[in-house]
Parts: sequence; structure tokens; C-alpha cells
Amino acid sequence: MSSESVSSPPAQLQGGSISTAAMGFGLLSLILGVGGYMAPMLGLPFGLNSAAATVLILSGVGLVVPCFVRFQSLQDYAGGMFLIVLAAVGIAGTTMLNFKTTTGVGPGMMPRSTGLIVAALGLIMVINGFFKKGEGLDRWSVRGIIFVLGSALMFGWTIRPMGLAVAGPLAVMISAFADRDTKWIEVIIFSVLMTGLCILLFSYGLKLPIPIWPTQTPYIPGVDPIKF
Amino acid sequence: MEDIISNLGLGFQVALSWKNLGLAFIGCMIGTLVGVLPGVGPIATIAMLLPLTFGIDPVGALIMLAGIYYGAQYGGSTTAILVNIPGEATAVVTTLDGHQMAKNGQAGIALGIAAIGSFFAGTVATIMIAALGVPLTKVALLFGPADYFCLMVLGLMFAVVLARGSILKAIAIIVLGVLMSTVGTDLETGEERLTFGWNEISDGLEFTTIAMGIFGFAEILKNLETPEARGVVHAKIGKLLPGWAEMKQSAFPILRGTAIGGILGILPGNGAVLGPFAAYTIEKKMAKDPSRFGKGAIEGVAGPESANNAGAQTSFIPLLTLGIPPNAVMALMVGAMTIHGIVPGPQIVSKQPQLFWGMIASMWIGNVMLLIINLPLVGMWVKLLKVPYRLMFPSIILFCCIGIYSINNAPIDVMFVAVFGLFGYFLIKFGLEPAPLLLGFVLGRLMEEKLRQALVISRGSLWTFVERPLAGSLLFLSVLVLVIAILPNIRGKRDEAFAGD
Repeated sequence: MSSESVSSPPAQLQGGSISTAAMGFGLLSLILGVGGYMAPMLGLPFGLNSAAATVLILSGVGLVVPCFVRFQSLQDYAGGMFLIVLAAVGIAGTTMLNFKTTTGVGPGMMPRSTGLIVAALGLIMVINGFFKKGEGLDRWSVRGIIFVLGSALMFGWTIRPMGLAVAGPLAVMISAFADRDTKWIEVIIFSVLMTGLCILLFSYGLKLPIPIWPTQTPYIPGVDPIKF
Repeated sequence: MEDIISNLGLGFQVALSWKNLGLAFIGCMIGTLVGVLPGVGPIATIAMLLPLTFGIDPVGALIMLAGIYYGAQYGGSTTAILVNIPGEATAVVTTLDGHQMAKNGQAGIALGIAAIGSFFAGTVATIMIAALGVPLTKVALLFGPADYFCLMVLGLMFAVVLARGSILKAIAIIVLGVLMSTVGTDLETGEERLTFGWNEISDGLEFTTIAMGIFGFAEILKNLETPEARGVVHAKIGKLLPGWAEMKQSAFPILRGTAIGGILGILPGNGAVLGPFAAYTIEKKMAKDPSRFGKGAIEGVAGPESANNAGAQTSFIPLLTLGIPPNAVMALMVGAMTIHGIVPGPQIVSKQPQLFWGMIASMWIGNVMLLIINLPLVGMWVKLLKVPYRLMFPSIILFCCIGIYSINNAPIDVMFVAVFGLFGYFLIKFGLEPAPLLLGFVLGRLMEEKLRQALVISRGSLWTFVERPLAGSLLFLSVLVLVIAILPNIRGKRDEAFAGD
């Protein structure tokens, strides 16, 4: 690798597939957010609640802006936007709750006041990202996100109907994909061994009520599960 | 004084039963294992091993979990010295001089002095807990809801000040934690908050799920970014026991490290993490020849290692006496206690003395065990380091999945872990250090409860937080702490303390 490619990443998402993707996803969520919010007003039978619409619109803006604006620190900008989006969920999701009651604190007070603080601090971070030189955003392990998180989702989906004997090796094998150096044979043997060990330890040793063997196929909407 | 001795006697009676000895041993072994392996922290381990303790009685369960915690603190130094990778966040500074000592052929002495320092610090910390336990719980009983609220505000302020990196980000992340704690059914009115009609979260977000997502999964994602790079394991360890000259050289650093670590450990926030940094800085400042540091100075191992172990243990004090967890690991201990039906707080000492004193006594026993486990078995731990990460992380994931599923027998929890893993990864990528989030999350619920109680008592008047002498002074202290931290020259010192990173 040449020394230039290691040096500090560009502060702006210029060109390249990342910028295109940010732009695309940003516009998509903007359209979905605005459209979803407007739909009920236009008399359409579907729509989004205000919290979901706010989140979509804000993240849309957050993704599109750095494609046009040069930031000194993309990390601060992105962190700030992330906080603002989360705070928006907290604020928009509790607008119907009372801020105060006759005796004092209402259920809406904590979420909304903390939401406001988080949003304000997020805004300062966004402004910081614009003016103050800082770190960029680089090296995301997309492969890791897909396979590591995918393996947990798969485990959750299969553990009840299929039991540990199936869910365990599946989780190990899927997550092993996250590493490029994975050797197939090794992973297969290892996943079976690890699962066996876990069954012995948790099920027989500690008597935890974990299903071990398959009893039916996992739930798929619209498909009847098969019993074993 | 006599009280302490008789109480400790009761504690040792509990802790020395065969079963509890065995549990402490297992805890220390697992903890050391986790500490030695880089990439698995104590938080993720305790979260995923919680189900292991379901069948055990509360005393035994907590003894084992505590063993995992300080075992991990301790094991981290082995990796730091031998491989130049901190096994734990608290062992970061140990890499500086410890690994240099190993390169100079003094690996054994570095390991030995780390062990001796930790053991001494652990002993002092145990006595400290025993001595402070009862008086502090008596103070705690004077606390009304308003005082508790202000105490927690002070705690969060300390967490902000002691957190690594920007103060702004630390506040934001803590408040975000408080915001997340409000998800679920409101306790007073029964109204659903932020559940968006989703039944699965009407009881609130699960603490263990968040912890495992952020510290188990997000950590793995972070580690996967960089291809595996491990330093050379120095196979030759040499003699383990330091000689007289080395002991003399390290005696004062160990004393100072113990004091610094012990005090910082009580403070909320990552006091246990800051301790070693502070100890290292001080040793370097006090040394006649500071240029030796970074080249294998034994003081640079002795001080931080003692600080790290002292801090790990004294951080139990606020949890056991006030019921307020000072850091993320202790927050997880709250979770563990709740699962076993124990409400942490001042009433533990009076209502469950065998639990309180048994745990304290087991800490000292744990320290003896660590000495035994670590020094002679060092060769075994070194071999473990040769397990490649490509096999380690799938196993961690499997353990995490099984662990989280077993807590509620709910598959949906496993899926939530994936979501929080992504969330934690975002936080890491955006430069937002996630540990204070957990503290905010745990204290958030308590704070809201106390705030409400206080306002009901005062009939809605906010003055109660200023008028009550305890509450008022605690609030004043928290403002003071924050203001001092923002002052430019103190801020420089704070950055300096973390500079070893």
C-alpha cells in the first residue's frame, strides 16, 4: 500500500462509491420520511407516525449534507447527527405524554428533557465537525457487520424451533465468514465441537432450559412450520 | 475495630466454605482467562456468563462474578507484559514499561512485581471496604430521595470528568444513556414510553442486552477492522521472584499506586481505568531519572498494577453501601443481584450480613488465588494467546447468544443484541466512548424514581434540592466538579493523565 493511501482520509465524501451510497440512502430516506408523513394528509390509507418520519428525514439530511459540504471532522459531524437522530426519537416519541403532573414530574419529563440535552450537544458536535479539525470516518468493517450481526439474528430465529444443535453451528459458521482468513474445514469441525461443548456445559451441566434438538422449522410468514 | 474483626470473621466463615472457595476459584480462573485474551472485556464476560450463576445461591454467584472481574483486571497485565497488547483497558499503561522489561529478559520479574503489587493493593482495598462499609451505610440511611438524586448527579459528573476524551461527548453519551433508560412502561402512570406499541420492550430495555451488544459484539466488529496483529510472545520468562533491590525499588510505587487506585476506584465513572494512568504519571514525575520510563522501569509496572487492582476492588464500595454502581461492571453486578432477588443498597449490610461480609472476605481469598493461579501457571496462559482470533470471536459470539437467550429464554433478546451491537459500533466509529452510556442507563432509572419521590415529598417544589443541606452541598459539589474540569489548565492535566494511551 502506498503511503498516500494511509494518510488522513478526505474530510469530504468526494466521489467514489461511499459518497454515491450516502447520497442514495439519504435521498431515499428523505423521500420515505416526507412521503410517509404527508401520506395521511393526502388521504392515503398508509403513513408513518411523526417519530418515524422525523428520524427518516433527519437521517436523510444527515447523509446528504456531507456530500456537498466539506467538514473538518466527519467523525464529529456523524456523531452529532447520530445523537440528534436518537434524541429526535426520544422527543417525538413522547410528545403525547405529560411533561408535568399535579404532583410533580410527569412521564414525559425525563425523555423529553434528556432528549433536548442530547440534541443540543449533538448540534454542538455537528458545528465542531464543521470548524474544528478532527478525525474522519474510515475503515468500516462492513463484512463484520453483515456476518457477525447476521449470526446473532440467525441464532435468535432458529434457537426455539431448531434447538442449539442447529442454531449453534449456524451461528459459529456465519460469524466466521466475517474474517477473510477463515478456513472452511476448520470452521465446520470447530463449530460442531464448540456446540457440543456448550450443550454439555449449559444443558447437561447447568441444566438451563435451552432447546437442543429441532422440533419444527423456523417461522416464516405465511408458511406453516413443519413439526419434527 | 472489634466489629470489623468479628464481621470479617463471619465473612471468612462464609467465604471459606468448600463451595464458595470453589466458586471463587472458578471465577478467578475464568476472569484470568478473559483478561489474558485480548478482545474480551470483563463486561461482556460477566454478561455472557450470568446464566452460569443461575443455579447457585446469591452469595456464591456474586463471589464468582466478583472473581471474574478482578481476575480479568489481573490477567490483563500478563498479556500487556508478554505481548505488548493490553488484555484489558486498565492494563494499557503496563504495556509501556512491562513489555520493555520483557524485552530486556526480565519478563518474569515484571510479572512477579505485578502480582505482588496487585496482591498488596488487593489486601489494602479489602481492609478499606471492611472499614468503610458500615459507616457509609449508616450515612446512606440518612439520605432522603432528594439527597440520593443529588448524589447520583454528582456521580454522573464524576463519570463525565473521569471519562476519556472530550467532556462534551461524555456528557452527551451519559445523557443518552439516561434517555434510553426511560423506554418502557412508566412506573407511576402506567403509560408506555417510547415503545411504539412494541410489547417486547414494554418492560424497558434490558441492561445485559445493551452491555453485551456494545461490549461483546461492537468490540468484535472493531477488532475485525484491523487484520490480526500480535506482538511476539517472549517465551523466555526467566525468574519470577523479584530480588531485594527490585523490591525496595517498587515498595513506594506500590504504596502510592494502591492509594491512588483505591481512591479513584470509589469515584464513579471509569475511576478504575484512570487509576493506572494517574499512578504512572505520578511515578514518572517523582522519579529521579524520568527518562528510564518507557525503557523498562520497574516502577512503571509496580505503580499502575497496584492502582488497577486497588481500584477494581474499591469500586465495590459505592455499590455495596449506597446501592449506586460507580462503573459499567458494577452496573452489571446490579443486574446480577436483581436476578438473584437482592436489592443493592445500605440495607444489605444489616439484612444480609453473610452476603456483604462473605463477598468482602472472598475478595481477599480471590487475591491469594490469583497469586497462585498466575505465577506458576503463566506458561499455560501464554499458550492460550496462540489461539487465533478467527476461532476466538465465533466462540465469543456463540457464548454471548446462549448467555443472552438463557437470561429470559427469549429469542428476541438475541436479536436485540445484534441491534445494540450495531448501535455500539456506530458509537465507537463516531468517537463516542460507550462505557459511560451504561452508567447513565442504570442510574437514569434510579434518578427518575428518586426525583419523583423527592418532588412528591416537597409537593412539587424544586427548592428541596437546594434547601436540604445534604442535597444542596452535593449539588454544589457536582457543579464545582464540572466547572473545575472545564477550566483550561485542569483540562490540560486531565488530557495528560490519559496521555499514556
